[in-house]
Amino acid sequence: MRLADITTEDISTLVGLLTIEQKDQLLGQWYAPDSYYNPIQDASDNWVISVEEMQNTVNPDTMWVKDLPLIEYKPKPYEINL
Amino acid sequence: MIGIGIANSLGRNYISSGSDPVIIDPDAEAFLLATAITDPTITTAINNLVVGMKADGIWSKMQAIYPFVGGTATTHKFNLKNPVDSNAAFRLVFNGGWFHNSDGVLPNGVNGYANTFFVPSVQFGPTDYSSLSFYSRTDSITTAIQIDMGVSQFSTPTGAFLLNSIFSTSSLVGGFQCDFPNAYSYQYYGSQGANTNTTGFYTGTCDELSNSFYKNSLLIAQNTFAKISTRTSPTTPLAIGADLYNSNARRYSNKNYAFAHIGKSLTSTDVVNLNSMVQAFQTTLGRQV
Repeated sequence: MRLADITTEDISTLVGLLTIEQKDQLLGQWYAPDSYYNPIQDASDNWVISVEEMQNTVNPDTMWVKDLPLIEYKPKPYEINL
Repeated sequence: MIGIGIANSLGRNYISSGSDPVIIDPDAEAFLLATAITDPTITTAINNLVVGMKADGIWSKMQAIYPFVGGTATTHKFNLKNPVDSNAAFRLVFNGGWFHNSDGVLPNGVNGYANTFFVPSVQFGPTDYSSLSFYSRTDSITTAIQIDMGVSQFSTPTGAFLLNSIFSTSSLVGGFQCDFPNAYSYQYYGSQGANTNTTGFYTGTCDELSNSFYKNSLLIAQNTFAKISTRTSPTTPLAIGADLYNSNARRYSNKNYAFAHIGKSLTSTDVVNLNSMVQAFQTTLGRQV
C-alpha cells in the first residue's frame, strides 16, 4: 500500500517503512518548516515514520518518503512501571 | 472594533478598542513581532495574558510559556517569555508527526514530541522549586501510557520531572513528579490522583514541603516529602507530548494542547490565578473546552 491509497482513518494505523540507510538519511532532517523527522522502531524493530511526516514533507531532498511502502503500525510495548 | 493601531509617536503599538487605546505590553509585543502575528483577537488574548500574569506576580515565576497561537509550527515554537529562535530561549523543536492549527498543537500519538531544551538540572538550583502546566482540549485515554510533559532517567541515580493528565486505561490517575539534585539531599516523589477525563488545565507544583497536582485549579492530590538520597534532577531536556526517557522519546501523547508552561514553584493562589487567565485566554480565542 502507498500514500495515495490511504483514507483518513488509515493515518493512525499505518506508518512508512524505512530501510536502515533511509532512516540514517532522515535523522536531523526537516520535513516541513520547523518540523523534523523522528524515525522510530516498531514492535518488530522495523524503522518507520508517520504518515503525517510523509504527507507533509515539503523538503525537496526528502520527497522520496512519499513513496515509502506502508505497513500497519504495531508499537513497542513499554514497561508498566513509571 | 478591536484592531492593531499604527505605531504612535513613541514607537509603540497599541490595541484600539473604540475608546482609549491600550498600549501593548512590551513582552507581548516582542512575542507578536517574533511570530509575525497581527490578528487582533490573538493580539488581545496575548496582551491580556501577559498583563494578567504580571499583575498577579506570576510572570516572573515563568521560565517558558507556550501559548500555541498562530496556527503553524513556526508560530507555535516560540516561548512567550523569551521569543528568541534559539535552544537557549527554550524555543520548541517539533519532531515526528504533529498537526498545527488555530486550536493549538496536536501530536500524533505515534512519534510526535516537542523538545523544549529545558534541562531541569541546569535550570533549577537546590531551592528552585518547580511547576509545570498544560491545557488539553482532548479526552484520550489509551491502553498505552501517554505522557503529556516529561523527562525521566532511570539510570543511577534516577529522577523525573513530569506532568500528566491520565497515564492509561489501566492507571486512571494523573500526576506531577519533581526530583532535585541528590547532592542537596532533597528528592521528591510525585502526587497522583484519580481522573476520568483528560481535558482541562493541569498544573503541578512543588515547594520545600510538598508536591501538588491540580486540575482546573482544583487540588487533586498532594504529598509531603521524605528526604531520599536515591534520586536526582534529570540532566536531559523536557518534552511536550511525550516523555524523554534517557534522552529517547517514549509514551507519545495524542492530545491537542493549547497552552503549556515551565517555571518556578507556584502558590495555591498562583494556581487559581493562572487557571483563570488561561481559561480566559482560551475563551477569547474560541477554543475553550
